[in-house]
Amino acid sequence: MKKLIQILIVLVGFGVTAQQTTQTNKFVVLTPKVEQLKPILLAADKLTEKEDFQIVLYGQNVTDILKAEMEEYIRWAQKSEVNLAVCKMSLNKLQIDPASLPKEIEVVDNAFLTAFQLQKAGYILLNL
Amino acid sequence: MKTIFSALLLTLFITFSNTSKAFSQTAKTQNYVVLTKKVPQLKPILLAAKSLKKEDGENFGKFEIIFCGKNIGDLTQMETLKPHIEAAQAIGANIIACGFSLKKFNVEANKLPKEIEIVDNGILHNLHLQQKGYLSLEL
Repeated sequence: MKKLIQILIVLVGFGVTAQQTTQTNKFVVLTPKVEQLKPILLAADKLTEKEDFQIVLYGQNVTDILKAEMEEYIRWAQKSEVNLAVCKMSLNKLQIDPASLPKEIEVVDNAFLTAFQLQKAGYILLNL
Repeated sequence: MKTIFSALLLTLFITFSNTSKAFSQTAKTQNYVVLTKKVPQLKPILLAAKSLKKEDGENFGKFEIIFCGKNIGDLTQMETLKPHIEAAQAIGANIIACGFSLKKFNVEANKLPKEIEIVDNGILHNLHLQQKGYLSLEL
C-alpha cells in the first residue's frame, strides 16, 4: 500500500518534469542591422533564465561589424554569455574575409539554415 | 485501495501518453515555411533547404517559400528565376506567390512561371502552416 503511493508520487513527479522540459530557455535572434544589437543585448540581459542566447547577423549591412563600435558589443555579449555570429554567405557577397573579423564572432555558413536548425533544437526564433 | 489502484493506472496512462507524444514529435516529418520579399534571398533559402533535406533524411517534409511584397513583379523575370525554380524542384521545395501582393502591385498572375503556385494571402498561408507545426522564418 505504502509502496503504491510511493510509486504514484514518483510517476506524478515524472509527469511534471516531462512537462517542464517543454519550456524553452534557448533563444536565437536574426538581424540584418548592427544597430539592433543594443536592444537585443538589453533583452538578453533581462532574460535571467536563459540557457543559451544566439545572435546571427546577416545581409548587406554586415560590413558594420568591422566598425569600432562593434568592440563594445562583443565585450557586452561575452559578459552576458551571448553568442555573436555572422552569416558566411553575406560575408562572401560583400567580399569580407572571415579571417579579418574579431575572433569572438562566430562565422556560420548560412544564417537561414542556422535559424531552422536551432528551431529544430527547440530554440525560440525572433527574426528582425 | 481500488481508488489508489485506478489512480495509479490513470497516472501511468497520462505519463505514457505524454512521453509517447514527446517521442512522436521528435520522429515526425519536419516541414518548413519561409516568407521572403526579395529574389536574391532565394539562393540562400534554397541552399538552407538543401542542407535541411540532407539533415532530415526521410523526415524532411515540405519546404514552402512564400514570396510577397512590392518586388513581387520580379517573379515574372523568367531568366533570373529559372535556376531557382530548378533548384526548388530538385529539392522538392515550392515557390508560392502572394495573390494579394500580385493584385496590389498590378502583376498579372499569368506572367508568372507556371511552376509558381499562387495563394490568396501569403501572410494567412504562413500562419496556417505555422498552425500545422511548420517551422517558420520570415524575412
